[in-house]
Amino acid sequence: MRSLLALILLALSLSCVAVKEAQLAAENVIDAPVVEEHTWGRVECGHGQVCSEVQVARVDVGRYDGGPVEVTLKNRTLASVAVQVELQTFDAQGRRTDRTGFHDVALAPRQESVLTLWQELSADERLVIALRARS
Amino acid sequence: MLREITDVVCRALLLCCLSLLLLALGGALACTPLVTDQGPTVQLDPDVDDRLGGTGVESGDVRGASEQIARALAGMRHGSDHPRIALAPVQNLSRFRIDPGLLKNRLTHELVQRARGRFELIPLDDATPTTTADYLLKTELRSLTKDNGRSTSDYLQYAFLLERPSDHAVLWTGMYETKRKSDVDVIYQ
Repeated sequence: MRSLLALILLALSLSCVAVKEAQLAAENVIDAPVVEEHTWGRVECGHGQVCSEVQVARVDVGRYDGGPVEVTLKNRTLASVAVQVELQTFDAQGRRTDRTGFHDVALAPRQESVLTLWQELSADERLVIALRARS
Repeated sequence: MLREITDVVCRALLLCCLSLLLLALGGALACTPLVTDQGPTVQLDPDVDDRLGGTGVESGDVRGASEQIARALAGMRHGSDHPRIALAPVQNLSRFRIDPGLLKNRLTHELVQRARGRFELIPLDDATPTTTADYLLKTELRSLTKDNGRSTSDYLQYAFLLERPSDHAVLWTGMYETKRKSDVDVIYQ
């Protein structure tokens, strides 16, 4: 009886993992994460929908006295959207050197907005911009 | 003969489907979700919207404004080596009754984290003379409200001003602004 119960529990736990994996795989297919590579670094969207609605139009890096970094975001939709932006910097060896919090940026329909953050960047550092929906 | 084979195959397929369904159901029932939006207490990232509505000061604003200003101050060139910056009490002139210390504490934290020896910080109260500092950082919070009975919108302005106490010359300003509209009236305190 005990072995049967153990077998059932094992089967349930295994099926739990399988179901969860399948669910996550389905979610990743429906709204897959997106990574866009650029000369200055990359843009990462945990939910690909965010990257499809909001585009990082340009990035201006002032490489003197710690910045500033200006990230120009463009709303590609006909509705107002609000996103959160996080900046991370990595050195040539891939070590993270700085990381900001997530900052709110509201965008009017089909308009651009610029987020300015002072970031200490050296010439060989790469920038990673993470975008996520505000809510 | 062909019909019998078809029947057997159909039954086998049906059995497989039922088994898979049962397994999936069992798995779904056995899985304890890790999501945080269940139960009486929910843990949230302070930068994420809490979905309670409202148009006022959010935790993300306190954190975001403080970080942006601290980064800008840390990045700028100062006239003297290791200048002393006095942090004046935050003036909350907005309609939202929030503790101004929230902004002051976060700003102090961010400034100290990013100073790295470039400047020194002096928390200021009403009794401290400003002459002990090279610069004085003033913070003011103001709001503009619109209400049509159904919805409310608020424009919030966090104004930061760096002045020289000796002659009150304004050397630098920083601004953090939000505008939000909501149909839900919430209490901030």
